[in-house]
Amino acid sequence: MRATRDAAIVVIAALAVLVAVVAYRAGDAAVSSVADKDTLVIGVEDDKPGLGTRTPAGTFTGFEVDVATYVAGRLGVSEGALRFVAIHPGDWERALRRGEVDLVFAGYPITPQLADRVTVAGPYYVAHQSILVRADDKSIQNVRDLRGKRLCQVAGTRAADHIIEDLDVAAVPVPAPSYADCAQRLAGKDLDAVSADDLILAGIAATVSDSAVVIVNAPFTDERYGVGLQKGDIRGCAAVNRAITEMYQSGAANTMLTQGFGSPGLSRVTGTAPSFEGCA
Amino acid sequence: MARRLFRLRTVPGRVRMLTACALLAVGGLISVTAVGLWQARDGLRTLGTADGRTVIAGAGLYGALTDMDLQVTNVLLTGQEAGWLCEPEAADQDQAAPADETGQAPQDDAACDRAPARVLYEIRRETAQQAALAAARLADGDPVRLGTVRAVLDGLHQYDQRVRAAMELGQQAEHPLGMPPAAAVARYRFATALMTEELLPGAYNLTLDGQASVHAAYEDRRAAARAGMVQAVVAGGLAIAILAGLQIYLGFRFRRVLNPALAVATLGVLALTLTSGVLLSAEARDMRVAKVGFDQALALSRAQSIGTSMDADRGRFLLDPGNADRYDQLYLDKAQSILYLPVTKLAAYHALLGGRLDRYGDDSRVADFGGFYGAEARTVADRANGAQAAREPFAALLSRYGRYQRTDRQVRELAAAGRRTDAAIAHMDPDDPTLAHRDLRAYNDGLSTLITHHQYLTDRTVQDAQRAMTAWTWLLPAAFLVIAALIVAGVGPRLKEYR
Repeated sequence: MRATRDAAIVVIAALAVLVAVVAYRAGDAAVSSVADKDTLVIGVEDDKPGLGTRTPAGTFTGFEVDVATYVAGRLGVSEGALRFVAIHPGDWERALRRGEVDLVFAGYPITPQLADRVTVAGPYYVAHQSILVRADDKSIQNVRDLRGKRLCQVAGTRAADHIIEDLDVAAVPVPAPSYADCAQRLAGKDLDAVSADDLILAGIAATVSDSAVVIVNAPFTDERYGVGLQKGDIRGCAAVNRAITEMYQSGAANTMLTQGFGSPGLSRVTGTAPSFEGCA
Repeated sequence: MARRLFRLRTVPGRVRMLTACALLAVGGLISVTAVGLWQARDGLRTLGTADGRTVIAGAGLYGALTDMDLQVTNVLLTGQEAGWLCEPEAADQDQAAPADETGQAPQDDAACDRAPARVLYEIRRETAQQAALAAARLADGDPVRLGTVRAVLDGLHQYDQRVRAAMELGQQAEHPLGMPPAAAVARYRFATALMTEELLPGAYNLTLDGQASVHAAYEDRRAAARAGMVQAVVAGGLAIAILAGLQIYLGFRFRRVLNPALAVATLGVLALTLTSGVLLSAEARDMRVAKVGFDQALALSRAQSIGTSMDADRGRFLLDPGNADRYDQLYLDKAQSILYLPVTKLAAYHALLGGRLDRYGDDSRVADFGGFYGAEARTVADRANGAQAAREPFAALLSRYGRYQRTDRQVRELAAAGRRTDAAIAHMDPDDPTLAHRDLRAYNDGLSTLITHHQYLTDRTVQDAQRAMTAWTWLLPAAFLVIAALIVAGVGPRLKEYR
């Protein structure tokens, strides 16, 4: 009889534990979120002066690094617990999927296709495609004036194609390996214009001596730089958006831009964050 | 006391112990069901009445602002500045005294007709202010969100002033339709920068925040309701097992084949368990239906505002040719977010759109476009299950969107040919040049109908589900009392034998 009784108690206890476990599991979230992490691996660019470059010491510097550090700070991750890695446009969806990086701040414009494949927070900045010319060249006032001009075309980017194909402006494309190279050739009069997002132009303009080049203040696109997160991390996305809102409200965004670029020709930054993509 | 009651070495002690366990398990079943139902009810309330409504109202902020932007752009484009600046109330007051003396209203030059666009602007401004207050309420003390609300409210005041400055400069110089003076355009740009870079993003993000709050509450409540379902089944199973054990033990000890009261109680628990499971899963399903409807209504109202803003971008394209390429690009970006096609040029978008829409018209399973309407097409297909009638309203909306884009093509062709005045006339309504184009209005009306339809479905789902639940507030305790009474009735006489 004692054995029966003990067995009954064990069965009841086991069932009670089962109830508790089921109740607990049912309330548990499935996706791990960047909002809960103590350390973060962040993908940034390493070849865009002013935006993201690698220093000789191997660390990363630039506007995107600053923004990422600010946002991570708001997520409760201190600078010491951050690790930056270089990431290239073709790789970062895969890197996010494999969990090699937690967040990506890499000058990537938000597109409808992108939003289907990863969760996108931000934009943290709305860049505008602009034109960089020699300071003494007054013949180029807006994108239409590029007709017949020699325009730098960097391998793997669409900026020059956008002007020539989408806007039907018959500029003469001149291939170049990088934007830094474009800037040098522009100053050396081997080219008439370089077109890219304003932050990229401001960054490379700073690499050319004696303000020999200027940005034409006639932006003609809106490029919304998004933050990549693992697909489904809605909570993390909301937390990042909140951090970006604070970054604009507090004036930190403005400070970062002024310190990083300080170049005339950049659009004014307001105290309101750009329209977010939404964390669906 | 407990020790005496449950002296497990004695037969009555064991019977009492099992009875208490059975009662506890039944009580557990009732409690988890009640909690699950309460959670579901709260989730439905959030979607149908409380926060859901506020979020929809908050979305009105974005809609109102885009409308204000459009009115201002069109007035400047069509040279109605004088009507815009007209203050009839002020004029009435000035003339009040002389009118009394002569008994007739003086025919004064000061009397003016306020432009309909200005009247609409004032109405929408009031909506914007109300909606900002709704957003503030929803922010629930969150300083970051309140900061955004404050920025929007402050910006609204500043926007009024900048618009006024542009209108005054536009009024000073006679200008042909579609070609306001450069100084007025410069002022207008200043006002537009405030609208498009601060007011609209702030309003848009507030709507997103509100939607995120509702989404989080929904996920939470729905998970709770589903967990309640599992818990109810486990608790019910446990109660049945204990009652069966009690039945067997009594049969073995007292040499009876069946204890009728206990058997009925067991059947009662079984029925209650099944009912709880079915009820809670139905509630979880209703919540999902209501949430889908809520999301659709919100997405479409966002699409509506983006469409209005797109029309304003076309107005800017005509008004400010110096920045035409940028406004063109913004127009395309907005069209792409409403209905995405894999192109990078507006001309290509126009060229591709007709064919894609016709294909959808022929066969609703083929929705080869993305954006808000791609998502809506998928939801419609899910819900319609192949039924032609269910997708009719959405197909009609798409054809109105197609018509709007065809008009856009004509406007741009006129502009490209250098006929700026004709392009400005084509941008406005052909019957009444003070109104936005009738294709835009027809398209917006179609959207409004669909939004109202989704909201109605959500509200009805919520109300039906809530009505289905009301009876359970007394059914659950009653069921507990009946089952408990049956158990006690089944066990009591056996225990008496030991007195």
